[in-house]
Amino acid sequence: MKRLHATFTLAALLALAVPALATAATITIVNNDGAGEGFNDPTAATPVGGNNGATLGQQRLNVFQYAANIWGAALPSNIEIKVNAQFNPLTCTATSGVLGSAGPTTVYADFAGAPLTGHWYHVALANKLANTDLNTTSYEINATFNSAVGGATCLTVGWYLGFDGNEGSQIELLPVVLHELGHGLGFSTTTNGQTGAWNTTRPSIFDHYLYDPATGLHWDSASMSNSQRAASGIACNKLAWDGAQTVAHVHDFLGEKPVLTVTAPAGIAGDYAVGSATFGPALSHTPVTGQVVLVSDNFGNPTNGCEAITNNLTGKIAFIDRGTCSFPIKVKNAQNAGAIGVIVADSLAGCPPAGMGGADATILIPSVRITLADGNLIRAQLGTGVTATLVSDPAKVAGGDAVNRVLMYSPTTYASGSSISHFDTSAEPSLLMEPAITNGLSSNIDLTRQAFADIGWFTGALDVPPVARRATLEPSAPNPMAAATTIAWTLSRDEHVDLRIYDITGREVTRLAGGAMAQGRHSLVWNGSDASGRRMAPGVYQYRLRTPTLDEQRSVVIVR
Amino acid sequence: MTLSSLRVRFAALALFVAIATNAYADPTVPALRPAPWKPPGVAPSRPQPFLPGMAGMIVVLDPETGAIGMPSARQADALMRTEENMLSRSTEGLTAQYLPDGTVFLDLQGRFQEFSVARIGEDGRVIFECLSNADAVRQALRAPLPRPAVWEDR
Repeated sequence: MKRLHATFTLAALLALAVPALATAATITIVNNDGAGEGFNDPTAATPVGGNNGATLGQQRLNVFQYAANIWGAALPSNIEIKVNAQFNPLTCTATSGVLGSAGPTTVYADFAGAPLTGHWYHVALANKLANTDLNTTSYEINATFNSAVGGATCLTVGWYLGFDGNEGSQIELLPVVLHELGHGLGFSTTTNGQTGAWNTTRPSIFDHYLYDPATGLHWDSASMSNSQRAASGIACNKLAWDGAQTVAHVHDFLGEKPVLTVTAPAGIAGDYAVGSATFGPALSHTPVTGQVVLVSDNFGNPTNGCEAITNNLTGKIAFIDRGTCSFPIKVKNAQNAGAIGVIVADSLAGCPPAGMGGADATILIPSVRITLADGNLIRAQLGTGVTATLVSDPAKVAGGDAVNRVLMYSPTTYASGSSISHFDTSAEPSLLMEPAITNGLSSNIDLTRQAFADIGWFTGALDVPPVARRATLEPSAPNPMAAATTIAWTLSRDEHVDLRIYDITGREVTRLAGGAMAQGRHSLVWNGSDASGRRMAPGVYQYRLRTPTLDEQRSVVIVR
Repeated sequence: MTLSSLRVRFAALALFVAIATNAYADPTVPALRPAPWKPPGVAPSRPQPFLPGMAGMIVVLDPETGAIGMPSARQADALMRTEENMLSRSTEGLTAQYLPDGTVFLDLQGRFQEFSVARIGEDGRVIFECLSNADAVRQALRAPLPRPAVWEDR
């Protein structure tokens, strides 16, 4: 009896210790459309991709509620989150148009339970933290989507209303709603990115995690001037999210970072952001290291590499200026001159560095593209000797800075609306809260949950595990291959997998795997043959893994 | 207090603790949970706040036939003006409200919305952008259609 009483007391104490813990949030889509339109459109609809709504309106509503349920399951709150939602005709043409919008209705500061005073919180988060509905007369989020999409004169391909990520050439509604609701739930700043001015004298809680390495300050710091804030918003590859939860989980979602590392001279030593090429082998774990040498082709602009290169590049990394001819021609000329790798320096200002398109199956050396600014920095030191390495660094993440803080989108030209309130486009695989939604995105909220943990959605939790990590595709080994190479991938959950090999023209060579597979790591050996068993010719091939959470391809080179 | 009533209380408390401490359990993505069903045309459950730029259904009528249709260029400009307020980052006219308990709030009046814009390239590929500035949206909608190549080729 005494033991029972002690247990009872312990249970009571435990109960008192956790009263603030919240259950999964309930996010309700409030249908604000009138009869016969938007969510109430009575047009008969055929079930698609798990969406069994019998009318167009019901299918639209189902997608919204499905997205709301994903966020609701991922975030804790005892206070219902109400989304004032509607479908209306928005600006549109046959080939371009507004898809939809969302944002918070209200922001709050200095409420009971606010972790930081003097900061704006989106109302849904403020309600959660206050554990009461601060905003009883209004909704938490406004959302308006385009009802004209799919009509005769508006983005005629139409919405895809399924939940399975099988949108084909249509516009998948689910990730767009997920993304925009993400902004409404807290993934945006209320600070003006162009002027750096706080909204009504206060920073947002989002600003608390925007770190500018140039000043060593966060955007919510009173020591940071508006001009410093604005400058960091166009610094490119500098402004980073340094929330502990996000940084702790970057490896769960982001792949390895392809980098150009300059090791000498000391004055310019460090990592440089690169754009990847669609031809030749991707950067691998095996470093390609050499002296960087400016090419000369003795014709026109001698450093553009468009004609046969006359200087001996054996064992060197070629430095070539962009322009005049295609990227593969430049890299092939460098390869013919003995180069082991190529750096193409941009001819136009801009950041982050773009990729390089084109195809040439005979290119067997890696190549990268760097910005004009970085190119000028390196070029100025070539006379004294520059040593560099091209490598895929497993310790660093694509989309992160040198210490794996997640880069925020801050191109050198301020992109109104896109800058600051999105993750950077260098993230690989793509993240939901990048400014552009890519085909691989469907229903995974990836690192956004961790960013939400940083801003307070999980107050008191030491670690917020991911809901679902992405599948990952590893570099094949060996690469280059002669007789065979092993391709491995890891699934974060049981899911459908499709793995195929393509040649450099995009023609399918063979399908290596297809069908449902269990969570965990898988691998298989490709012997360099097509579906008929014929050995493929030497050259570059792509292997592409597609799952509901990933669409990624890597290259493998056959040498014989 | 009897032993059995104590057991009942203990069980209830243990259940509460179990629920509370599981609040951070990693939830799985849910199966479709239907929204609270509202018959078509039923008004929202809460009073509608006045939100400039958050107008209700916009109906465009053909002046000759009276039929509902797509907006003309002029009507589209009017729609874009509606969207401009939703895209606005201006704080002009926004006033922080102070409550007795120290809480401060700011009604954003329909501004500070993020916009998803799509363009379809010549190869049928859909290009998405998320923007929050009217000029940026206009620029995105007027930009030349993307070429089939994913990256620049020279």
